[in-house]
Amino acid sequence: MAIEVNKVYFRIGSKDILKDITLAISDPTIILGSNGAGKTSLLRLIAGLISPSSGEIKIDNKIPASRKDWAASIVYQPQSLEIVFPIKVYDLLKLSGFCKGSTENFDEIVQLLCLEELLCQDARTLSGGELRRVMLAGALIQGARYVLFDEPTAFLDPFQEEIFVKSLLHLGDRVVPVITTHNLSLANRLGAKTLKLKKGGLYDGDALYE
Amino acid sequence: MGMLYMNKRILLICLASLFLLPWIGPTLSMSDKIFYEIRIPRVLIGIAVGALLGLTGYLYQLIFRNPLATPYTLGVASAASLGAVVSIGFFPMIIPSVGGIIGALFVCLIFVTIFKSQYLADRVILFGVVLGLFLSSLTVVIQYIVSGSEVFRIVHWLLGSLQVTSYSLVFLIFLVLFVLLCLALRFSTELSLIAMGDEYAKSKGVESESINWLFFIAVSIAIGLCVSFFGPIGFVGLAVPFMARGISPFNFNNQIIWSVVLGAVFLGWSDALGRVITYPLEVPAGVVTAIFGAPIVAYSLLMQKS
Repeated sequence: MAIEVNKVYFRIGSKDILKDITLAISDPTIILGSNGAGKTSLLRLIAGLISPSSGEIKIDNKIPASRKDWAASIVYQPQSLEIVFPIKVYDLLKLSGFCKGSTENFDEIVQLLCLEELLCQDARTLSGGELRRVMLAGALIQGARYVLFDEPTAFLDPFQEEIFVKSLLHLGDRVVPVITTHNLSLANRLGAKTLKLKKGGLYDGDALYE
Repeated sequence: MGMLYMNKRILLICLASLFLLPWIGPTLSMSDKIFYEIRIPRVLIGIAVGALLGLTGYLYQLIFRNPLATPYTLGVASAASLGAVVSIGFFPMIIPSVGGIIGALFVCLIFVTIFKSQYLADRVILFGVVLGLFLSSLTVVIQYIVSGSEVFRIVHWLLGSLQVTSYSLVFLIFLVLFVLLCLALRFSTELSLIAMGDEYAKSKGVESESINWLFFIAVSIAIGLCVSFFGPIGFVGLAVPFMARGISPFNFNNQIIWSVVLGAVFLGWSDALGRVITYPLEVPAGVVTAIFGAPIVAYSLLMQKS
């Protein structure tokens, strides 16, 4: 049970965004790296939203055949979600059951993340922290094992960040979070493994931001 | 998205009002024949075309995630006009709707390749307006190039009119409406997710590209047909989805139904008014829809921020 990335290159034009990435993820993981190191591209590749220029990505030993297969095991959480048309939090969460065709754990997850009071609200009026929790609930309803967070605490104040981290810890081993961040304390608190990216490649040293 | 709940009273009034339409206009004293051969098909075509324009407008707004994106604002209708005019002027042996559909498909292709793949959603309207103006100019140029008799046909067609005398055309438009409505309801969950963003929809398991293509092609055919037979009728696709969202703000399924119903009412009544307000002359339906549609859209846009 793991995400396996094997000799993956990702190019835009002639520029290597990611080069020769080989890694396996089976436990909570933090991906560190400066801006432009390729963190977001790596997450989007793993989520199957973009295709590698070469190399392959396997989820639990197979290459997912359809979007529903990807969504059943991996969910990608973008930095922010810009919602244009009115939609209730309840409907937004129900839509997350699309890939399974059911939302049988809906009530349990809404309770777990304390979202009862938000259900009837227009999702466009949520605060940054609330939206984070709603998106996390959506990921759980979707039932994917691996949850990829792109800079989840970037727009949160310290108080909201604390709530987010507690929710994640509260989930225990229900999901395997994979998180890109600049926030080193997040890595320590979650007890996660750390991967470092530098200029599109995996990096082992300490001078990450040079 | 749960059970279909409707504001039943408004729905009933809307549907009932459609039955009044055949009796609006100069009283038909001559014979029943004209009533059945001209008035009834014209009312039916107004209902069907209005419903199609409302539905296609709503679908484009969802797919492009922009309340101003409709086949008209994005230049699809202008392309259909140009396609139809080219076929009237240069290829009189083929029917104008073939040119119209090809034109509409061509512009959709541009939008899929440029905008859906590169996250330029904020620039899509701007591009559409520029494209629309460009294509309209080409349409005018063609009028200067072609010979006299074709110019007359083109100008007559460009005025736009819902006058039809054949029930087979009425049947065709209703068929297209039925297919598009079924597609929209069948894929309403996928469309709701695409309205949250292509990438979001993908990560929830939607094959966004295929769904986008499906609806671009279906909408192009519908718009190509409407424009090439009845000329450009603006503002239905823009105003109707605003009203649909106003009646049922949170339910995408209901909004699809309302777009169809309100589109039918809007164009049906615009055409009826056009028949009577300047009697014995007729104002084209497209002019009436613009006169009533523009204030509705302006009002909705002003209210939106609050």
